[in-house]
Amino acid sequence: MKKIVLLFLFIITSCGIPYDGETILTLESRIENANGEPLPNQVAEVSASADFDFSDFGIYRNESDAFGILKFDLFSPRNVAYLQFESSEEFLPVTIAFDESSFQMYYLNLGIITLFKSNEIENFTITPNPISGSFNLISLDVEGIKYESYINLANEIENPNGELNFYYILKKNQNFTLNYQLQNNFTGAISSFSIPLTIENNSLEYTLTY
Amino acid sequence: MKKILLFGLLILGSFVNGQEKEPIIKFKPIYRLGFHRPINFGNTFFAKDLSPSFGFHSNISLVQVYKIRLGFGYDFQSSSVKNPNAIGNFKSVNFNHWYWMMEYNLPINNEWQINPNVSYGATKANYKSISSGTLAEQSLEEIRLGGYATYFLNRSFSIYGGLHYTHIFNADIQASPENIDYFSSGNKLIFSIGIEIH
Repeated sequence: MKKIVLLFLFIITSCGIPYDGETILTLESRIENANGEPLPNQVAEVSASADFDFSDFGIYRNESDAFGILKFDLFSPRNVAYLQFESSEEFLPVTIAFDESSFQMYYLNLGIITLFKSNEIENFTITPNPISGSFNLISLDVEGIKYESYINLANEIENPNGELNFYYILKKNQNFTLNYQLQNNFTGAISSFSIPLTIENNSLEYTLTY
Repeated sequence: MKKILLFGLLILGSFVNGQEKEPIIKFKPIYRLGFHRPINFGNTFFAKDLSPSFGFHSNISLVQVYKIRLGFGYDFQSSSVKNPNAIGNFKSVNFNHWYWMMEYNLPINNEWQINPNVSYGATKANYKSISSGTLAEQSLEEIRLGGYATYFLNRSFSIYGGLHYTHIFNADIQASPENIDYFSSGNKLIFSIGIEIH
């Protein structure tokens, strides 16, 4: 009975509090424009989700310094949290989802976050063309300067189906690499391939034949 | 007969003396109620990034052993966030402190008394938002050293002023090494005034 009462007290006292006040995390990134120049004064917010209806926008709000460095010291979110850049007419929105598992030793360096203007990007579409029937396309990725409006670093909301992404948004006028892996349907052997490509001022479509 | 009467007076005399002798443990309740104002210092989150306002406190001691009184108390203190970039732009941080206290009675004269004391207790810090209540909680420990100077107004009421040095710490904070040093402990001086009811 005593354990039940203690458990009940624990649940009603801890339920719904979105941050763990005993754990302090540090989140850091460098904000750049499409030309690789640091962007100062870019405002970003971190907001956490909770078991109840609430809004904590404005609790974690900071802006990049003169070198484009954006840093947050924040209490660890109990669920998934979101880093979002303040919407502006100049740059396209970026949202990064993370949770405590995204951090190592209470620190997460997001590296460079590139903010793009809408006229700095183009679409890149891959059309799979499996002509032999002997291979299965098992992975696909683009190595280059990409625009992603949503980046997921949280464990909780990983892509459940493992679906391949055939559509990318890339910075214009750049050389990039298309990496993919094929698995032989009969032997199970996996082969890796890299194809160098160039995107210019127009959208690009590529047919991947295997 | 004369011897019996003398013996009887001796017994009666020792009984009266026994009644006047103060017992070691006395039930002597004293209740304090007052306001306080902390001044945080040092290179810590509590000193650099919070701005404390006036708080209130109350404590009670029920028993006295020799000249040492034992009691317990509760303090409430709210602080506003001075630097929102430190750990978040919270509306306020509320500190609820429950403690055990031991103090010594040091009478100066019929009107004045000094009470050096030491206390130890637990503090719950609630980080509040404007609209959604508590967003984060911390459990801390607190040690206080200091004392009260009490002026007796009459047999029932006194007024007092207090000064305490307080060390607050949180052994459970998990963070990078530089953040642990900054966020897990703090020091403050607490000035207090209030009334004492005997």
